[in-house]
Amino acid sequence: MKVLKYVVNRLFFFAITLFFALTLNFVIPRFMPGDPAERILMRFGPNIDEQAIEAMRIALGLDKEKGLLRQYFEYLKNTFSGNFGISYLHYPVPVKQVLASSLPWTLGLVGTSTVISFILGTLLGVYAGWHRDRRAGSGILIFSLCLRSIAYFWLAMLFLYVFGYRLGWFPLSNAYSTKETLHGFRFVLSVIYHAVLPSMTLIVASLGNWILTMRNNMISVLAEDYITLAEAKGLGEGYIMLHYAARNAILPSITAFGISLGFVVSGALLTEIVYSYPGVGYQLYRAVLSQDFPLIQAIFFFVSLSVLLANLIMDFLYAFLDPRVRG
Amino acid sequence: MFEVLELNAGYEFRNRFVHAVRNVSFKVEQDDFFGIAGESGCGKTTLMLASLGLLKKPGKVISGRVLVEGLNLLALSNDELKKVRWKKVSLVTQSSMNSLNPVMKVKDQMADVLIRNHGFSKSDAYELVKEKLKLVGITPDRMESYPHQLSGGMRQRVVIAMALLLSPRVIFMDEPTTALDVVVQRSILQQIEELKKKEHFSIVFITHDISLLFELATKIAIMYAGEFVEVGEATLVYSRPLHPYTKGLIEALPSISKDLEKYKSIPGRPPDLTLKIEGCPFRERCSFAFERCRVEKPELRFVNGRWVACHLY
Repeated sequence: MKVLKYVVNRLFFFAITLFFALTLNFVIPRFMPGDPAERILMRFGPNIDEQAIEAMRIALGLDKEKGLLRQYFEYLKNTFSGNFGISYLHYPVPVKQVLASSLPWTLGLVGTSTVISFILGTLLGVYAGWHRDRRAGSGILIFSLCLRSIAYFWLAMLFLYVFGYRLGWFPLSNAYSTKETLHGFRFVLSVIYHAVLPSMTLIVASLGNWILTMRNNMISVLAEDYITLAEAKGLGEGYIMLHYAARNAILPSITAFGISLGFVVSGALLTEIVYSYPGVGYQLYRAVLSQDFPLIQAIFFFVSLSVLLANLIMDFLYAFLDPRVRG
Repeated sequence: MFEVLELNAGYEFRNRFVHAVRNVSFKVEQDDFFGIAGESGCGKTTLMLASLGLLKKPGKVISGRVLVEGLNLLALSNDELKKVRWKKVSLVTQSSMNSLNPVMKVKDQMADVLIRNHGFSKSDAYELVKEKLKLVGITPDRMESYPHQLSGGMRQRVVIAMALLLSPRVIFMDEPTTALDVVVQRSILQQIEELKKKEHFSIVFITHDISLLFELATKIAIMYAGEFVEVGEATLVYSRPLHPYTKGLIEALPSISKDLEKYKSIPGRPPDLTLKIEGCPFRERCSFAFERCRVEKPELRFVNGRWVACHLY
């Protein structure tokens, strides 16, 4: 019963927060100066017919006869039916299609890198915290501090120059081979091959933080009496490290992991730019430059949705991992 | 049965060493209730951790032996330690709030040592857990609980039941009731005494609450600046203390019968344990100090039925 109550409670908060996020997403672009209809038509020349502008307004659902409230409900309806309007930048391609061609790449690249980085960093952090007095522990600490202070866009360029340009081991741009049409397994291989450098950059950029967080958590848990008791019981070192120390130390890291999983959708702007990777970050960057509000709005919608979803999943996972949350 | 011989231990930092346990020896016999008292920072907990081979870096045992039924605990290999620990000597830690792993069920954190180190089957282990919990007055349905679902007193009972699991001969208790209110404290101490009679184990009880020890302990050791300054029968030490520090501690106890007008204390602070102490460590706070106390360190000597380290005798 308690568990059910917890689930319902979390779902309720998810719905409320999502509603607020959607509303903000509707309000903010409407506070911005300028007329989107004019902006689109400006690209076709300096002399714009007043009627054409009005027609464009109607096409965009911004006609003045419609009240703000009606626009709002229409926006809600459209969002939930997956209709995000037409991109100004890629006019007349619908936003949905623009996202469909960039979201999978971002999810694949940034998502995988985030998961790998979290797992690797957490394991190293557990080890570094447990052996904090030994050479290996201090070594990992120094290593992670160095990683954290590297400017990762610079690292991206360095990787690109050394491994891509100089050594020629990896491709310089794109998410898959454009020289030939590949199918099935060979296509997958090509995608992985193209993702190696960008994902390396992303992993290196975030690894240090995961290590440090987990190491610090471990060290504060190791001061607890239950660790002393476990040692007095004569339990094995590995068992205490995992079941007594790491099992408790991982809880704060799980929250941070949830948040970063949520932001996967927003892409990795600098990495995608350096490697000309066709992801959401790159798309968002271009959308901002050309004031492509429908696209920005849609991307923001997906970011808030995924952050909230990730948090919801982490809440459930947390309840599974920490009996105190279950009540 | 359990013997600590000339133990020296402390904490090692880059350029200094905190010598927290200085040449301490003591022996715990069958059915002893051995109390160790001293103010905060005198080395009580370090002594306990070192005696159990649990002192971790930067802590370090420099010399000494700990004999458990003839085996030197400090010289055993990891595999040998696994068999001795908890079976021969177990531990009840300081704070009832953090003594249990918050993410494990009570039964699992009690049973893991039985299953992993002592060859119990799962069902045998849970059976024993149930039995020991009953002994401290906790009903079997609490086995499925997580620590946060128990009160502070219940948690401390679980920790005591855990210490009893393998019926060890000696149980170390480091301020086991400090975090509890006086009523719960009283009932847990009574329970410890009853259990001790029933299960025949000896207790090494470490506390700063000296009045508690005079009531419970059979033998008592007064610790000052890492050393034992007076060791003997609790009743004897209480009725006729010899060391000026012991006298000061007893005089500082508030009395129920007398008025609380005069609140006595011992002036000054304990010496810095990183320094080498010349002469008697207590001399600067001692009103009986004379020339010899400054130059010569007093050794423990047997005087009037107890051991005392003071030049007055």
